Formats: sequence, C-alpha cells, structure tokens
Amino acid sequence: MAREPAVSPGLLPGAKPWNPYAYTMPALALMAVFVIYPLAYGVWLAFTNMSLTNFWTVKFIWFRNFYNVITDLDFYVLMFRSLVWTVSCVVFSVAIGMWLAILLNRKLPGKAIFRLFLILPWAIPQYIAALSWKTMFQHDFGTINLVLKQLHISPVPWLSHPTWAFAAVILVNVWLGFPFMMMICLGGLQSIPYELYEAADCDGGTGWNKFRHITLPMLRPVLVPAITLSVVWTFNLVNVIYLVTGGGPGNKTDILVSNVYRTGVDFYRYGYASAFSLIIFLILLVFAMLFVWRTRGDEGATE
Amino acid sequence: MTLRKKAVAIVLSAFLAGSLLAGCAATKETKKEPDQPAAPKVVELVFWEQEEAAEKVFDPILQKFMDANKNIKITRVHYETEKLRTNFLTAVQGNQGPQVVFGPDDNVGVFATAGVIQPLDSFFDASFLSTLNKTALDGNRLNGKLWGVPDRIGNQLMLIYNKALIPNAPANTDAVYKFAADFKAKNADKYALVFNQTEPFWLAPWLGAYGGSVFNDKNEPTLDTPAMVSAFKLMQDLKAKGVIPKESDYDAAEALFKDGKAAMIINGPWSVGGYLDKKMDIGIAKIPQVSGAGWPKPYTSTKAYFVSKLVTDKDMKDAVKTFIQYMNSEETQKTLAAIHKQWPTNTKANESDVIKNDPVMKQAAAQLESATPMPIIAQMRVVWDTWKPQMQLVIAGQATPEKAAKDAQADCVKKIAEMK
Repeated sequence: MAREPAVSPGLLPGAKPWNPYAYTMPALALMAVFVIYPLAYGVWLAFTNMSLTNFWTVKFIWFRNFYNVITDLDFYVLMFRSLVWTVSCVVFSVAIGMWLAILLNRKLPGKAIFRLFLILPWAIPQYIAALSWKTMFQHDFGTINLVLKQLHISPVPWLSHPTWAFAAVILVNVWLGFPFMMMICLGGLQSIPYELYEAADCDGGTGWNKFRHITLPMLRPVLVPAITLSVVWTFNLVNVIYLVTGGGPGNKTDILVSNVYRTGVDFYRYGYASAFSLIIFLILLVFAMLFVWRTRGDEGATE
Repeated sequence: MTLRKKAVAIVLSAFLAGSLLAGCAATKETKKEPDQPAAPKVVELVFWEQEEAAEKVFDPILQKFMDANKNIKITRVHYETEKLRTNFLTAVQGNQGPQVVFGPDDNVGVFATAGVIQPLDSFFDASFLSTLNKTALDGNRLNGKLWGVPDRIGNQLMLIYNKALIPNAPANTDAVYKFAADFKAKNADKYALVFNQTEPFWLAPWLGAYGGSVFNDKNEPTLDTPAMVSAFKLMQDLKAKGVIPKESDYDAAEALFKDGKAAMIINGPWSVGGYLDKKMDIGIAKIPQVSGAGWPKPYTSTKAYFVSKLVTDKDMKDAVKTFIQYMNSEETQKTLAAIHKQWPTNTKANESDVIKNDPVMKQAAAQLESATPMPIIAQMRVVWDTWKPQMQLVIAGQATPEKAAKDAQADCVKKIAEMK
C-alpha cells in the first residue's frame, strides 16, 4: 500500500519541489502535442456540428450528437454485434491459448519447436494475415473450400453469406489472438510453484480440481489485465473486418468501430463520429473498471 | 542543481518542444514574405497526388519542369485516394497543406462543399482552358463553377476477353448466356464472365442499360426504380445460370481471369497493362448490350488538378498556374497518356497519332462513346455506401431485388439528410 513519506525521497538539499516537472517537461511537451491536444480536440468536436457542410461554420451543439447516436436503432444492432464479436473472439483466444499453454508447460519432447510454430500467427503482420485468410475463404479456389471438397463437404459461402462471413472474421481474429494469450498464460504457469500441485496430489486432488483451485487462481493476476486489454483491442479492431469482409455482405459484419470509421472517413461527419467514439470509449471504460473490480484483478493471487 | 543549470534545462526543453512546431510553420512564413523585386525568389510548391506508380509517371516530368522553371521547386507527396482526401481536408483546416492536389474528379463534391479549394474560372486564362476537352471540363463543374483542371478522361469499365477462350466478344447478353452454357458444359471449373461483384461501380453500367441513374435532375437519389430492380435481377440471373461465380470480389475476378479460368472480365483501363504483362492475348470491347434493353453505360471520370483555397499570394498563384498549365500541355499529356492509357484532355494531344493509334486506347474509345459521367456531388458517397450492401445481399440471395432497391433508397435518403 502507498505510504506517505515524511520527506520526499530523492529531493536533494536545496532542490525545489517543482524540479521533477522541469525534468519531465520535454516528455510532457511531447505528450501535450501528440496525446493531450488531439484527445481534447476530439472531445470538443463531439459537441460540435462539424461536417462537410459545416466545415468552416462549426457551432457548439451540446449533446445533440450524443442524442442522435443513442436514438439510432442501428446503434443497438451494431452494439449487439460488437458484443458477440468481442466475447467470441476473447473467449476462444483465451480458451485456446490457455489450453495450449498448459500443454506446453508439461514435459514434452520438441517443446521449443511447437512453441515456435504456435507463436507464428503473432509474428505475421495483421494486414498480411487477414488478406491471406481472405484468399483462403474464397468460394471457388480458396484453400478452405478446396479442403472441404476433398472431404466431400459442400463448399461454404464464406464471404457472401452474412452468418458465415461473421464466423470467418471471428475465426481470423481468434487465430491472430490466441498466441498472445498462450504466451501470457505460459509466463503465468511457469511462476506457479510445483509444490502446490504436489500438495494437491497428496490430498488426492483430481486434474480438474488442480486446474480450478491452483492454476486458475494463480493465473488471475496475469489473465485479468490480458483479458481487459484484449477486450478493448477487439472491441476497437477495424483491421480484420475491414480487410476480410469490408463489413459486408450487406453491412452484416459491421461493428460499432467500423461504423464510426465510415461516418468519419466516408461521410465526413466529424462531430457525430467523435461523439460516437466517445460513447465507445465510455463503454470500454465502464467495462474495464467493472471487470478489474469484480475479479479483483489488480491484487496478487496470494493476497 | 544551481539556478543557472535549471534555467538552461528549461530553455533547452523549450527549444526541443519548439522545434516540433517549427516544421509546420515554415511554409507559412515563406508565403508571407513581402515582394522583393530584386532577388528572384524560389517558390516552393507542394503537390499531392494519388497516381499509381507515381514516381515513374510524374518524377521525370517534374524534373523537366523544374529545369525549365528555376524559380519553382516542387515537392511531390503520394497518397492513396481516400487518405489524400481526408489529409487534405485536415491540412487546410489547419491553414496548411499542399498548394496543388491531383486526383479523381469526385473530389470536387467533397472539396468544394467543404470549401478547401478555389474556383478556377478566372484563375486561368480562357485561352488555356479552351485547349481542353469541354466535356471533361464540365465534369469538374459544380454549382456553375469550375473546380478542377482535368488531365485525362476515362476510368470506364469495358469488356476484356481472353482470345484463347473466346475468339470474339459477344454483342449482347443473349450471346453471353449462350456462350456460357456451351463453355460451362466443356469447362466445369471455369466461368464465362467475372467482375467485382461486391462494388456497385460494376453494377452502374447495367443500371444505365435499363435507363436508370442514381440521381434525378434535382440531385435527389433515385435508387428505388424499375431500372434498379431490373439491374439487380440481371445480377441474380447471371449467377443463377452460372455465368458468373457464386462470389467474387475484385481480386478474385482478377485472379480467375489471369489464370485463364474466366473467359471475360469487366474491368477498367488500369487493368489492361497487367494482362499484357502476363502475355495474354486479349481483346477489348464494349460491355455487351442487354438484350431487350440498351447498352450498358459505365461511369467515366476525369482526374484533375485542384488548387488549395490557401493559394492567395501572387507569386504562389503564378507558380501554380505555370505548373498546372505545363502539366496539361500537349507534350506532357502525350507522355503521360502513353503510360496511363487513358484519353488525354488536351484536344491536340487527343488527336495526335501516337494516341489514336495506340491499340488499347483505340479499343477503349468505343466504350467511352457509351458511357456516362460519374456524379461528382458529395451525396454520391452516400449512394455508394448504401447501394453496396444491397447489391451484395441481392447477389448472395439474401434479399429480393424489389426489397433491396427499396432499402437502398430509404437508407440513402436517411444518410444524406444526416450528412447536412
């Protein structure tokens, strides 16, 4: 816990309390230019009517944009789809990542090679991976359908049927996401003392019991931040959907952020898009706070 | 730490922070310099473009221009089409950015509406403007003003066929169906025709064939018309009869055609070079007439030079004028056309033998006769965005043509209203 020191540590005799600010000024100046100003500008925009037609006649319109966002029915459709997208992506990445990490944490011949191959998706640039997957999903000559054909399964319209297209983007994102979870879990697993499992063995604990009462709680300190980050990233991820389906067919794989991207970039509705982004930010902020609080993720496992 | 050291540290940090902003301020200051008659000053002109293979296309010409005009220095910056649009809007809003921008003419709708470019009717002399094709110039007019100087006209979709698979282009859709039936019987894994089935740019020609258009005279969207329904039905029919693949985007269509798995492709002039590089024996023809209706009318557009609204200084104005006139001279346009294979707008360049006898441009000319200018108003962006999902749903069999047309119209009207 934080203790209030009687004397500020590190302050040399004769030094003024504002010294630290002077030292950090270059960094603060950079932050102000590249982070604080754009952020503040974005917040300001959210309260204005700035758009293509009001490019030079920007007016402050209070909460009009926010009202327009939350009264639009599409918002809730997109919200629902964003949730399905985020939950499926994160659940599958965590489950697959954890499962592989547990396997890799055992005594396994050729472990290093397996690990290397499993990390590979992480090492490939997202852009390249997404475009490769898109080609593999192609109906007539895509690898996946060719394999299905060999297995006498009829080809799947991966990119032209809404449900399949949504499954396709989730598949790609899980493929991109599980190595990160695997590495995080592997790191966590290696820090669990082996004695705990031995003790459980003495008490006659089953494999499930050991997982439920030792592995999972001991992984919590690393998993909670990883899952929080992953949820935020996934919720805000435009790349994969943009590159694989482009939101299609029929905008049926659009999520909240890809919609914001379109209103901002295609329709130049700057004010509206900023308000929309702020709402997404608030949703994620509330989620992150609740999640960390509910799982007490900021505490160590043994506390 | 002594007070002096502290002062030095603060000053240094301030310098560091200040130097970040110095780059942005530089161009502005040179512009504000008072006119000095004695020393010839060098005008630095920044030029943004979105040309494919820009260094090959533009750099030799820019070098030639700078050699001939020692007082003008040009910095060329390349952007992808959409990036160029958004970055230019942002830059001008911050009183920055290039003096000259080059890109497709549908920039006019966005730039003129936002007020980031200036009208050019009186910027250039009438004698210069009269050297350019009138239709191309008209394509750059909005609200009665000229906003861009076009250097080429084209971009129209055409029928490109692989002579090894189909010796002659079919004249109408009946002939296409007939060919496809025979072709499919012999080659189960091949297609008669491919095109990008995910973008309405490829649907627009067929809409035109049925006499439809996306806007009426008052620039109101007209997506729910019998013509639109017919165009959607044609797409469904082509798919149902196996003429076109079950799904195909741009890349897939290109791949099928290049691999000899598709006899014909509907694509634009930009793609021809790629087929020739692959040593394919190709022919170019008009998109086949719709049996019982008219000829398809693909969209044509021009690429044009636009001038930032911030160009107000006299020296800069002169430099911009000299530059754009040079880029649209007969000689420059001929050189450029040989590379980009689209019709130059300079009437003299257009009539020269070099252009007229070019095999690709010669064949493309036929399609240009049956084409329609792509609308340049900003609302067109909403049309693309609302038309596209419905086209995809129709082709995927997820919506009936009637419902798709109705939904596209409703969505479009709503989004146009929201844009204001």
